[in-house]
Amino acid sequence: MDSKGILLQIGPFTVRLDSCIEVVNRSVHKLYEGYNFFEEKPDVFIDFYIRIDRPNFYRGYLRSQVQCYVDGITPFKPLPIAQSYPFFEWGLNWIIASHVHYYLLIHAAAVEKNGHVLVLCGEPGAGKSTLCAALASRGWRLFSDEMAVIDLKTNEVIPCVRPISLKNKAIDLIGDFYPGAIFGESFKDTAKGTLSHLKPSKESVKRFEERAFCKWVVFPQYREGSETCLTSIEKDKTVIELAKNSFNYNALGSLGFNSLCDMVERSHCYEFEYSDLNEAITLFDELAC
Amino acid sequence: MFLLVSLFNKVKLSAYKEVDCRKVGESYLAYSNLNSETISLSYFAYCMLLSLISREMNMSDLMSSQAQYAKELNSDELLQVLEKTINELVIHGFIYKLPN
Repeated sequence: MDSKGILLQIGPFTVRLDSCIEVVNRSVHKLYEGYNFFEEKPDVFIDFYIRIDRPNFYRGYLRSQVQCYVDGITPFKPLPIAQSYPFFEWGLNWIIASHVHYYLLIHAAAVEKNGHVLVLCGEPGAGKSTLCAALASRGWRLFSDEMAVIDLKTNEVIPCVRPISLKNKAIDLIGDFYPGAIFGESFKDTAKGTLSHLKPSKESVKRFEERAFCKWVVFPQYREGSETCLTSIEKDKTVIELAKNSFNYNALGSLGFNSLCDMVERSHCYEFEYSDLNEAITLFDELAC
Repeated sequence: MFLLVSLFNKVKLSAYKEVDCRKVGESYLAYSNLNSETISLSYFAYCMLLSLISREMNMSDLMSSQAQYAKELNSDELLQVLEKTINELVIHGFIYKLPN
């Protein structure tokens, strides 16, 4: 197998990726530029091993499919070879969400400004990645687009900076909004439609070890033509919604409950409806002042 | 009502040890590790659950301990509210009844 192992530090995790699929290696080197790539040494602990490869001759060459092997197992069905790179990102999401129980993991985007973290939580399609990408393009430091990682002891949010996954209309929207945006390749006809990844800023990547506390929990909802509207919501509702959107809340038991309550205790909680990204950013910039 | 309380006194109530509850801002929440359920509580239910976490109680203990949190209710109303709250907490796996 012509496989080149890539070892990189992604937030608090060390990941080894092996793939002989060209687009995977090319995309990783482009989108993860500036990350800590390193050589495998006996004293380096690897958290996750991911391999993206053709599964066998029939699937790999006759049907042009790839498989994602995470820590040697195959939890997914093979996908078309054209979706090899998203498969790596999804595989990484899956392995973190299903194996990391020493942090509280919430399906949410997180960005930081002036030492305070804004957590954006919502159902898929609510517009959290779009808003996260827009904020990250205007001076907010990206922590994560996919999952907010919370330290169970200190309650700090831990950066887990990765490329922002944008879908369908959001790709052009952010491309127009942020002319300096660097995108990876576009992947069409995935389960989520067309997908492209936005490279995180150098600043976000460089400061990947700087944690901060959450100050705002926001449930955004993009609605075409809507007014920008930020509405306070109760903390009990916020805890319950965040618990529903957590990957491992149930596995953590009381520890997860108390960690979530502590986080919400110190945060302002809102529902947010928007259609205009400039207005949204102005509003959040004012909050952060 | 006396009969009802007497009947209730034949059972004791207790919170499961896997139950946690706390105040967050102006809200009250409880978590049960038995079924991983998180629920929002009224102040009254929160005080009741806190009492049951600290020790098991029969109905009359509970009525006297909770009376201070529902001063606007007469004893019939208090009993009704208690009964409803107990049922909800039992259904959601936060407390259980045991023979006295």
